[in-house]
Amino acid sequence: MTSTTSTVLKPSPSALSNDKSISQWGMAWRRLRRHRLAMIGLVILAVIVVSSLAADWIAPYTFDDIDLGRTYAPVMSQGDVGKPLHYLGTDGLGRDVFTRLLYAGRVSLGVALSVTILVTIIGVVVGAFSGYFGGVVDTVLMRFTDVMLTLPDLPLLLILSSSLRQFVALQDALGDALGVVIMIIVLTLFGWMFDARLVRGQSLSLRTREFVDASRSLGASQARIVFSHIVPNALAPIIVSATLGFGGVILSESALSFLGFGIMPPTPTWGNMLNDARSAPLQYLFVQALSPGFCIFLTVLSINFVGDGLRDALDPRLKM
Amino acid sequence: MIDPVIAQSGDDVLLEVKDLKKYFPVRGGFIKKGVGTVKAVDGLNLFVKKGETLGLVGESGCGKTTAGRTIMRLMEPTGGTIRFNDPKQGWVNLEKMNRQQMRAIRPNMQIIFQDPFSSLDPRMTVFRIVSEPLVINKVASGQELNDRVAELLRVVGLRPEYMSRYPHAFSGGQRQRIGIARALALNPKLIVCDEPVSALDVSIQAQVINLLEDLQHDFKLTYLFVAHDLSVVEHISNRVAVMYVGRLVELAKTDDLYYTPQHPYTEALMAAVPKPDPHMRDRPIKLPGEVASAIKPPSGCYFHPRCRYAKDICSTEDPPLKMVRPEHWSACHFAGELNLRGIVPTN
Repeated sequence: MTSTTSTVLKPSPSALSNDKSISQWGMAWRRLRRHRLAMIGLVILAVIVVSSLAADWIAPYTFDDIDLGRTYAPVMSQGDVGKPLHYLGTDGLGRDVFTRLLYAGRVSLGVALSVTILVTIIGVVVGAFSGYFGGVVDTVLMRFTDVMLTLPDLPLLLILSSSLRQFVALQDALGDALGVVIMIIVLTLFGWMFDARLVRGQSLSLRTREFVDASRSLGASQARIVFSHIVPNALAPIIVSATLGFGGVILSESALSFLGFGIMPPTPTWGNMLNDARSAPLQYLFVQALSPGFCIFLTVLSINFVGDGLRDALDPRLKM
Repeated sequence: MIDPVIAQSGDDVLLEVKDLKKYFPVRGGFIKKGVGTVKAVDGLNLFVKKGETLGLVGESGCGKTTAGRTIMRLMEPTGGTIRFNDPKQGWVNLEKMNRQQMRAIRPNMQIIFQDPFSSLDPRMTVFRIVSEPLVINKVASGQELNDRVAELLRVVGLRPEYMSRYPHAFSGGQRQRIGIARALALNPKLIVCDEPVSALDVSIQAQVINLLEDLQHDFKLTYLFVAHDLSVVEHISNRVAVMYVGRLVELAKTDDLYYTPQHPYTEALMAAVPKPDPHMRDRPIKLPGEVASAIKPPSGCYFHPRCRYAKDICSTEDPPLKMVRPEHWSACHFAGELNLRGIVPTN
């Protein structure tokens, strides 16, 4: 019998080509970079995100700076003496539209990001455990998911967002952030079901793979198997779904705010700016409605481009 | 002698399986009601001695993989007992253990899988795969963990520098070595090898088989070697157990079983082994019909519809496993009376 330690194998050619083998994420990033629309989307998104975050420095005014002497000022009109131009004019209360767009972006993107993260976490946990355990756990969780899916979400969103506002305890605890927090809760409550179903499907097929059996025979706990084997392997579709969901949340938030059930003035969001534009006289309507509308349009479009790019990049069947 | 196989159990035995059953419900129709059961393993008896390799053979679908996984408690047994001679706890009944208790036993029994592509998590580096058993059981951490993984990779013939790579960068044989390193990490006593080489090229098979033999020698391992390739099993096994439709039909030392089989099914299997010498060509034994269904097995001896020696008793009475010769058991009514052909020993 030869000693095992002396027989060291030659590496396979693919392993030789570079010193450290690139992870699947590295390969995905390479593919994403070749997806032109996704890269354009990423750049536009970056500009929107950075300018919203930097609103305190970029914005010429504060978002609740009322100037009743200059309502519906036209684009590029003068402000007070010594004050900067109103680049996109002012709204019905004389507030600078450009400034409000920047701050609104902060709120809209912040809400969308929070909701997307929460929805993804809940969806992943529910879906992964449902699929992994199967049986009674699966039946209970999935029927609950089905019930949530059958509920008409818009009326419930309206009722919830207005009724939650009535609680004095919530008002005291959250103060000005109340509207934003309610919006996040309400949208999360009705958003996690699709992710849960998606992850459940992945989990169902992953749990039969041998590496899961291997982990079990090593004595791994159920939670360890779910979080270190099932979830990482189901991550690609989750990321795509989260990206596309992000755009959806911006739209939902805008819709709710437009209907007046979302985040209340003076906090600006793109949705309640659209709502304000409704009451503008006809000749001002276009500028008032188009500026937040265009922001929503551009953000959601970019996100969808990125999502499409990610879907292609993360598909393991596509080799470079 | 009612239960000759079990009568052997003693301190030199590591694993003892008695009347093991694993049934799968067959669901059909709109409301998914049970319409039958697949008796994948239907009353399996065997024991594995310390330090030996017991080959478990049978054709596709005879339940040998299910048996291996049920013994590992990766599947819940429907019935029977699985007794394991744990180095710390002594004899324990695995089928009675709960999850927590099993976790204390698992380090001593590991499994090597058939498919080297499905058995390694594609999202983990080799380091994380091989270190997983050590991390889960809190055996090592930090630099010590690193050293242990490097040593394990060296032991299975891989370079430690590869540990930051992902499984997709390796060939089938290399991946199987990674799986072996993972199984070795906890210094197990028993390793269930679930067709460890059947997914590999023949030349790679030989390397992996030799590695398994070397490791057995170096680490005093006991193998339950599940396979369908009779020449591989002949090479590596001290004793061989033959399964047919979920049951053990014959168990003997490798040479005895191959040269002088005592069950007609084993005879047919041996006749199917390709012989490397054209002068030694003889007629294969053709088995009429299909493998018996594990959903509706035939009455009496499961093999009787295909057996050329079958008599009336075979279709009515279930043959018990009986000792034909020392350490040679066969579940045939006429074991010892028939003159069965084995393979001819080559020198």
